[in-house]
Amino acid sequence: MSQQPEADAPTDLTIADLAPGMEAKVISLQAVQEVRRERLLAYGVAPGRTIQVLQRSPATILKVDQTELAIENDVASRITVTEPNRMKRAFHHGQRRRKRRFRRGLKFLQRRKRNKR
Amino acid sequence: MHNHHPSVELKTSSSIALIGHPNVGKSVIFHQLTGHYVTVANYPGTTVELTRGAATHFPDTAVIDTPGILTLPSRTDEEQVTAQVLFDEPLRVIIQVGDAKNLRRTLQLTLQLAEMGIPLALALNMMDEANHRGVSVDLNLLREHLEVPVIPTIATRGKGIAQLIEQIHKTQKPSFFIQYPDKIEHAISYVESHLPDSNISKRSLALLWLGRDPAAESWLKKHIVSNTYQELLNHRKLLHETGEDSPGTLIRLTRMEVVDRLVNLVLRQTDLGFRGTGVWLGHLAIQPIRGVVILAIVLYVLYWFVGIFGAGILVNLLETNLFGELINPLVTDGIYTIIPIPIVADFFVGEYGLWTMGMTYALALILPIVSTFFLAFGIMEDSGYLPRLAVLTNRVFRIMGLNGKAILPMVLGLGCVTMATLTTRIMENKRDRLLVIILLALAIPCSAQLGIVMGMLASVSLSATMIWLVVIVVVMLSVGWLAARVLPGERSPLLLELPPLRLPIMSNVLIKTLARLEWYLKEVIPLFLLGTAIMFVMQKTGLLDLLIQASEPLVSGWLGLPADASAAFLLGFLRRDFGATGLFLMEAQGLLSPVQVVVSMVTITLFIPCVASVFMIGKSRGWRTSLAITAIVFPLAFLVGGLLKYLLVAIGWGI
Repeated sequence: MSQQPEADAPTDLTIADLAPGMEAKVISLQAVQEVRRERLLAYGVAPGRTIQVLQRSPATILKVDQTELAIENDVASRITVTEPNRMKRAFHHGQRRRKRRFRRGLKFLQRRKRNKR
Repeated sequence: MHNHHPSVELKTSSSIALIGHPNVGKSVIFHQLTGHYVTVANYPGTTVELTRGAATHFPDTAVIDTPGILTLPSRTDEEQVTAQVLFDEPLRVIIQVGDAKNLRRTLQLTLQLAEMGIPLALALNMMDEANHRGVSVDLNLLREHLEVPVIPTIATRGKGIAQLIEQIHKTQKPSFFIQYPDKIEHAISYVESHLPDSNISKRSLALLWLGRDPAAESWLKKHIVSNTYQELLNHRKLLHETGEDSPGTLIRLTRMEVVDRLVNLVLRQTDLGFRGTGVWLGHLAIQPIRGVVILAIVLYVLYWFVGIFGAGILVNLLETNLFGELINPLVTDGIYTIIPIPIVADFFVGEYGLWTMGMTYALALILPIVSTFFLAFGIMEDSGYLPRLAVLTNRVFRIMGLNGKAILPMVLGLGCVTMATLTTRIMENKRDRLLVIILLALAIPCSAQLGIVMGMLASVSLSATMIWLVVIVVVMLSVGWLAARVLPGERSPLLLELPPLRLPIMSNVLIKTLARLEWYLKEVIPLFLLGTAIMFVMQKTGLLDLLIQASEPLVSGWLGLPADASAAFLLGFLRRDFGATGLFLMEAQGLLSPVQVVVSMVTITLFIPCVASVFMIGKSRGWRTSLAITAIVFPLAFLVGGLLKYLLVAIGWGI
């Protein structure tokens, strides 16, 4: 792992900002409504735990441990996460497509940062 | 069999409860621990099913298969039923069935169950799936730390079951103890001092209470005086107001910490990059485009099995050959010779006879269709495809102020709307449940009706079928859209687990199908007979003719249908498909033009499904709601039908 993110550094990134294949640590679920927060915690989407985004459309698909969860963007955008970690094999697409997706994901994040400034 | 009293009620002095997350193999283990005699019944006061069976290896003991739960304190109906089992049943042992590949989640529940002070064993199931994914667990270390027997199992292949049975004999009360933050510990000791004795330890009851568990609340209400209950309520309210996190969250986070420490000790995860066929297909099924292709294939297979095999071949065999040529002539002759009074004989075998109409209809026409449908639905349910369908359709349901979970009752409604009404409990809140019920009552035709509607429309033309489909979908979307804006409350966004796709175990599917059919025969057939009896009385007293005359302006004038169609619509009031059958006969006699076929089919589809479903809505949502839905659906069905007629005539369709 070359680019280890600073542990739990405060960012304003949410799961909705991650591209398919990216991994990140959950920081907070405070913005999620209590009923759903309880369920997310029970599924393992908890502060400090690593999640991986598998897919973004038609819904966000997350992987926590060996559990796959489908959540809507409304929920995904309320869960803050750390800077995404390395790219993991998302699915079983070809190598080229995976690389393309990774680059697209990185560009997306850079653009987002630029826009903030 | 050691059981000396194979009583029907299954009265036993102690029981073993199987508890665990959904889709971890509880039912498979259940069937391996019990004999052939199994009862499936709704838990009193709920629509959640609870399965009981006599334990094969333990005398005088029942095994209870509880509904899958995510977590306690309970939030869903299923979780409440499981909590009630813990409070009310004379439990001798709890077996937690856990998912070996999701150890964290599993242990989360284990800790909670261990706190209850009931002997506990953990069956760590699906060890094969865990191995494939590179998850390995140090079982000895886990046993040592938990002080609970842990048995690795692969239930589908019967592995580890013998060891599990052996361990059940030896289980003892767990001594596992978690120290919570001071604030919680103080609260626990305060609450404990007010609690009566119960099945579970005072400490765990106090923890459930602090987490606002509704099952614990209602149990306490019954077992302590109201003054004390009020004191406890005030104490908890005060506790909720102080501090950022609610007591429930604090308790959960403490347990998570303990679990994390434990898991770090015993779990080794290596990424093997596991890509089984199930995983591959599971991901494919939720891709935006390829997922829809898979859906189309699934729907086609479903149509072939239920529509062509069930509704076509089987119905033909049963209705025409068995009932039409063999049984009914025999019964009719028999009744007429036994009962010489014509009016009494007619009651059984006449035009609206209990046997010739009610039973023939129920057994020869509906039964084969719902049997094939329930079987297909059971396979879809156990394979893990349905949650993926929810992901795919989420956006459509969003328009109607719902989330993709609503697809489950909708698909089941294509089989039997009455049963689908029951399953609306999977929706998160009352608002969502009500919305789904409205849509079910209005726009979802059940399998019996669907068969007839499809047959009639197909005999006109493909465009007739398309018009029908578009009208129904547009009505459903716009009513849903409107209702979502009128009903108070907020839409709950999708949050759903996607279990791995698996090959369903046929014996489990069959047992479930049989249980559903039994329910169907018990609940729906009496209503068929009641409906037939009402029709008989109405016909004999002349009330039927009167009503037909009264509804003529509406049916002939507004909808532009022949006068005879009134009778079909009146029948449709009792059962939509009764009505559709009436129209089917009229079309066969050449009495209906293409426009009339489409208009009548649209109107009858939008009708209230059947008397049984109105009863079921009344039972589960209250009679007021039931009446209100009926009062909205009837005028709406006629309104849409009439408007469609004018539209079709105006554009000159079908002439």
